[in-house]
Amino acid sequence: MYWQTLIFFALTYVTLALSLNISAGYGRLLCLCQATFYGIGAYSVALLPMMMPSRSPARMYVLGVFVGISISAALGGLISLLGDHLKEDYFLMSTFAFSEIAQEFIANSNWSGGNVGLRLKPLNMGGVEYVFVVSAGILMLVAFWICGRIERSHFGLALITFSVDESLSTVLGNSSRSLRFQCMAVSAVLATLAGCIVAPQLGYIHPAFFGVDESVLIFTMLTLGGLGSRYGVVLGAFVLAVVPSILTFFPIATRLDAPIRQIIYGLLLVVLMHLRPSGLIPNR
Amino acid sequence: MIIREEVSFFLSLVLSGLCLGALYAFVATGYSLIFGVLRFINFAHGEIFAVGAYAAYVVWRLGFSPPVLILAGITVSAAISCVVERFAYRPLSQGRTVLLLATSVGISVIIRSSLAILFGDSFVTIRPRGETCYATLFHLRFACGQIYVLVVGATLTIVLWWLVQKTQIGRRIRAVASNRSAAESLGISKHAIHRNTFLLGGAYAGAAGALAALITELTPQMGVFLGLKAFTAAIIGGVGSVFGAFAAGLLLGVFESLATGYFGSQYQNTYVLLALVMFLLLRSRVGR
Repeated sequence: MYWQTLIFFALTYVTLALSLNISAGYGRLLCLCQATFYGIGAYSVALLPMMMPSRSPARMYVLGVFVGISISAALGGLISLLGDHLKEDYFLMSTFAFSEIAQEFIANSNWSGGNVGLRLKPLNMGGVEYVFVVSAGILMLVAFWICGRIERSHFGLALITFSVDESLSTVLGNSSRSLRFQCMAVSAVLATLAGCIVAPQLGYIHPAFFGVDESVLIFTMLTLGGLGSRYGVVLGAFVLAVVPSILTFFPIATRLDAPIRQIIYGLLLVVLMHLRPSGLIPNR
Repeated sequence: MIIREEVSFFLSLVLSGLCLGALYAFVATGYSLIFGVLRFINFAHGEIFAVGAYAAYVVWRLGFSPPVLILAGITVSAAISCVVERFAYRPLSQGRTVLLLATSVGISVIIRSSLAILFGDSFVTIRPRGETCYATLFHLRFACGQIYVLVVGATLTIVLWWLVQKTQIGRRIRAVASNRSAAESLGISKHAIHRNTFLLGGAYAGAAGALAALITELTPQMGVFLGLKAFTAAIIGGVGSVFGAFAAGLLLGVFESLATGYFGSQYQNTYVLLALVMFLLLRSRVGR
């Protein structure tokens, strides 16, 4: 069970980091709200079966996936329009604010279970135990494949042109707005799908699982691996997802467990920016 | 009578809004100053504020009075702000903004978690001697902490104006902010200016932290929302404009206090952050 959970979360974090790589790495939209999209997925598959208890939970789950994807894609698109207006640091702060608003909204609302969290209706999976771990693996492969496709497509080349020279890209007939819109929407949808898998695996969700700390963690994974380099991102996410579990072998008070882990993430981020500014495996 | 009660309710909201606004204003000033010289948003500035608050708390536990609390907050925050600048930001000041941003995100996580380890996750409060006292003026009841915040805040504001407008340090900071290369060619040392800016920004964040310790409870996360709101104020006031940020901070405090007073405190933080998003959407091309 322990190993299953560890592998499951490693896969999920790799997916999340790859999804952020699409918006932040390729699209140059430094977005600090990836955990919010992830949370939208988790909450939509948790809430829909509860709102319609008479229908079959599995069918409502599938509907929840579609609802989550639509909400995230729309929100992601809107946020990318904001990115068109703002410089990267303003954009980072605004998405951070958005992440905080979303978390506070969920934590203070009644329909979402508020600060108590939500216990999901169990899905009947016909006794197959590993179904969510396997789907997390498949989703990760899909995310990795999408990143590879983007790197080698016209779309990816247009993005590179855009990040190198904005006016040249415009002259060549690329609209930065539409490029970024697509990046952000794809990125949001992938994160949402990860959330749709996480919620039933855990069986219980809480607003803090999808808060700002989580967004910062995903951002750290991405910068650790290297913005825009998919192999690097996989490595970075895997390291950060697995390293903290080594901590559990040391006898430290559980109260200190979370803050110490956060400090390790923070230190890694700071040290890395000084020693290897373009990540463990830089992008070309 | 009812009208009178309504008016006094309104006025007390404005008053507590001004207290809150003074805190936002001091932190927003720091954002603005640092943005002026380094051209990046210091993500960790809210945490410097929290450090000031906890420094005041420690000094209070040792048995000192409010003036010492404020001095302690200023000193500790200014020192930490300087150390962070010297060892984390300075080596990167030539590089891309992304590196500085990521570093400041890391620093903010480190400071926040260190506070959680040192002081625990739950909140602590200060009850200064004489806190139980209330002053009544024009049928309004003030808590003594609030009076303290208003008086000290006004004094520090005058000092800030003097520092930025009238002293050598302030002139140099403004010179670097308005034209970096021209200032350098006139012989103004870049490193010294960076240090002084972080010193000044840190000191005012620390003062705000110590004042916050007098009127609210402290949690390790207190810097996150305050940082965001102060950032909002810095943007609304026009980034790089120190006194614009200051005025916007005061306004934002009053706005938040009125909104929570009339619409309930459930979404206290959401009001201000929505104001930020609306402002960014309506005003095109901020900082571009």
